[in-house]
Amino acid sequence: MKKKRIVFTDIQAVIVLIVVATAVLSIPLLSREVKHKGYPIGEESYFNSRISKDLVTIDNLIYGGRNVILNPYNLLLYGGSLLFDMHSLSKFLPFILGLVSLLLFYFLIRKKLDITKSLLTAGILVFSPIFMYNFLVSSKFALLVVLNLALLLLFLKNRRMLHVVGLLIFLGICFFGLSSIAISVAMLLGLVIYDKKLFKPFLTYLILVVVFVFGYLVPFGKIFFNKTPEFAQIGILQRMFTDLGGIIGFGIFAAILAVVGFIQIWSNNKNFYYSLFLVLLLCISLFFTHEFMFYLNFLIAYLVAHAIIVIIKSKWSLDFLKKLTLIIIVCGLLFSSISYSHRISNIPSRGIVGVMDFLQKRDKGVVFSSYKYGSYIEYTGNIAIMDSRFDYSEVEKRIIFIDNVLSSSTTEKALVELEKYNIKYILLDSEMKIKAKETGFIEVLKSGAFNLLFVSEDLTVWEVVW
Amino acid sequence: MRKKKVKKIKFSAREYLIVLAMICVIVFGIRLYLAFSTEYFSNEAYFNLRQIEHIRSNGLPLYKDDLSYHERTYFFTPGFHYILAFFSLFMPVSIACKIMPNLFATLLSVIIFFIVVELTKNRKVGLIAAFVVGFIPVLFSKTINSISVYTLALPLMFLSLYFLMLINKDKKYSIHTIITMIVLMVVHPSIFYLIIGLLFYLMFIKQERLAQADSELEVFIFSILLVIWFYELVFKNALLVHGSRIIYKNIPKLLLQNYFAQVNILTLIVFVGFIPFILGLYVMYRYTFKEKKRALYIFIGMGIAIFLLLWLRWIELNLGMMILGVVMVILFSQYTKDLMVSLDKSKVSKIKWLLISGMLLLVILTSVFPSVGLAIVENKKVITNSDVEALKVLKKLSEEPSVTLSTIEESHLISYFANDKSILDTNFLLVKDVDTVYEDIATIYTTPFINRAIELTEKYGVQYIYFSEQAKKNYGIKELKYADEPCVELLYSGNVQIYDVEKCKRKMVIS
Repeated sequence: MKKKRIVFTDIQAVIVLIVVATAVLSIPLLSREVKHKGYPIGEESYFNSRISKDLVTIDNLIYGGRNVILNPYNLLLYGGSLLFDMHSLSKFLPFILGLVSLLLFYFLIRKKLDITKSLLTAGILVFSPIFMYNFLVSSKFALLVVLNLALLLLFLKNRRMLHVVGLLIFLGICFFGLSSIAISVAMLLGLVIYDKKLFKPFLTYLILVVVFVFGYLVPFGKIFFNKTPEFAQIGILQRMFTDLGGIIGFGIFAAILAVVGFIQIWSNNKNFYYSLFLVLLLCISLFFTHEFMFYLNFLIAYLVAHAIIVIIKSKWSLDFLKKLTLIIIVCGLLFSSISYSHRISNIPSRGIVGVMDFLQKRDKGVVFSSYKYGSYIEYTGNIAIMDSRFDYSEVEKRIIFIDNVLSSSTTEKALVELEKYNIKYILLDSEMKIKAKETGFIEVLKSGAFNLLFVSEDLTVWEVVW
Repeated sequence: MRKKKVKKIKFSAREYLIVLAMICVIVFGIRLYLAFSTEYFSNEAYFNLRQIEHIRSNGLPLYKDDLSYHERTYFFTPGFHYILAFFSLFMPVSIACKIMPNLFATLLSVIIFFIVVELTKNRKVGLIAAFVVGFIPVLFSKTINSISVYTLALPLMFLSLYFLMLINKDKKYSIHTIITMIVLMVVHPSIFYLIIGLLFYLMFIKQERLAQADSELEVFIFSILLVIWFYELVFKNALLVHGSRIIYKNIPKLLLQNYFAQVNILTLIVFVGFIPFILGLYVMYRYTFKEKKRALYIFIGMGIAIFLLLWLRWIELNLGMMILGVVMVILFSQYTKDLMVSLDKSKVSKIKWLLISGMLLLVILTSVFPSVGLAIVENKKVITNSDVEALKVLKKLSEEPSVTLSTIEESHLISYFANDKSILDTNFLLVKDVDTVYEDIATIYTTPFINRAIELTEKYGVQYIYFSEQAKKNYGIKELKYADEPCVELLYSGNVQIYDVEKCKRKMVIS
């Protein structure tokens, strides 16, 4: 008797993907509703919702102010906030963009792959940490990824009307900055290499890039590069892999399988050389910025799916070992996913949520704290000394200031330092408290010049009594 | 005149096994003699002892330790502890911990015998290898009284390699290999080094264009994925905090040199054994560049992997030398076999065994005597009765566990004998700011200023200071410079001094 093969249709595959993606993305959101009073996930969500609410171009909630370059995502949030409240929009807009991107990706790869492989690739994508981050945290990459996928689909159609739409989308991508332009151009170039007929339309895009860059970005000073200071940097391996503590990264299992897939394709299929070259290039670029990870993730998902299919189709001398290996692979991928989902649903922590709730109700002022809490402090309407964007002036000076305050062993010394930035509140976490204990600053806080206002898990808020 | 034919004496397989058993008895006997020459264990063994006793009484390892200052969680695989706890059902725990690790280490000789016989098809060479592996200086000396997990990890590692060698003969050995690897995985993370060694072996096979056995590759793929997944689960929190630096176990920078020391040839020769090391290197060279022998590549691959890891300082020095030592003995046995064959064909064939015996004598001089000598030196470092006496006094000082400052090496003694908390022990994972803590301990011992000492003792809640010979040696001091302060009370004086610093804190608060 022949074994009955389960055959999916495209519609069934799409339904499965939507259901799975909804489940994967909903769980952290629901967890936050229950445990964290429904506050959005991720630091960037707070910055984006604050900036987008009033389309802020000069941000005064970082000490000394800074210029903000708005991008289309901010405009989208602003537009959405006219209909919905920003708090909910920050949670549901990325979610919806995630579903859209998943479907776009599925239809894109369906052009080359069969349903099973496309479904597997898209399924692996859904469970990847980067997918979860990108579509749980309200950031520009949620929209960028959707726009790029739409652009690729339209570009492949090779019809004039759709090319015009594609050009408009590409123009929108251009407003996200130079790195976004570069990645879009690289992806379009990849398609041109496979289908020479697309060269002419590609030229149009190139012209648009040159006009945009030299006509807008350069003259209006819209090109800038932010470098994360050394003290805030973590190791490259830790940055790249979520299992090693990274927030935007890959699972170790996925990385291993991707390498297997890469080697398999490289040795067997010359047609994919450009894609593989792109993968290598993107991997190298990770040493400089994490932005490309969001795109690399799609390629990684494909390589992982390829590796799994190679293992399934290969003939093993020990069949039971093959089945066990596949079980381990599934468990490994799922474990990374579940572990990451749990971790990201706790960013920001209950302690920070409690502090935000508290500070929102207080009189506004300058809050002394680590750069890690900057975005949350700004969200409450208070002014932060530092935040993790590092796009403000005198970063080193501010670090020295924070160090000086935490090293103050007398009340007089502490007050002299705090006066420099007109500090109203002090927010300390456990790490800062350890340092404060060593230097004696914790004793200074117990003097009459400071009031302990609030304690939330490992965070404490003090008020400076001027 | 007719030449007299020399009658070749042929031994049966059973007789070889009897000789093997005798070798094991000798090795085991010497080990036990040295083990029982002291009542106690080396300092680091007491962590394992506490774990074994906890398993015996509660069925579970002691992951969350109330006697650690930070009350943190330990990360380790408890397979070895469960096995020893099982054996302690039949005899007292301390006896089980003396006998069983030494027995496991002795079983390595049996495993190496079978490996070498399979490799060389010569049982006599197997017996020589079994004897030599029993006296690898670093393995012998560091595992007599330390309840060392390596005594079980190494036999399991080489048993896996043995089964892997047999996979090409019969696929059923795949299951044996996998089961052994799974047991090793649960015992100690050194399975990672085995996998790296296998990776080098597979690269060798590809390089030499030898036929790749499917089952070998399948076992390798399965085991690498299983091991990565398992350790991701076990060390999840530690990986999130420390990332890739987990290789260095969060050891303080000042101590890192002791664990992941830069290796040099002289150290390897002394601790691995002169003859096996030199001749093993020669065999590595010969069978890499001049001749081909598939079965040897597993061990050559392993050897190269360990050399590389030692050079990169990605493996603890002692463990690296132990694995390398066993690998070199196996490779040395190939040399012995080759030597026998060439001697048989030469004019000096009649005195073949004289030459072999001469080589064995050299091995005894350069491996056996140093092994025993180093083991005796290690035994001298073991805690003495007077130290235990002092720790018992410390225990009686308070009903509730209090924080006692000691050197890191003695922290497990403080926990085990005195039931007190220590500031820092040899398990560094998840310790926050470990460099600062380590430096603070050193400062408390070495500072001449009472105020500084009290500031730091207050920071960690230290009530007692345990000042031993180890502390004097570690910090190059003869006494605590503030010991004469009126508030510092000397509670015990012998080989060890115990000071109470609680009064000094109260005095500082008042002033």
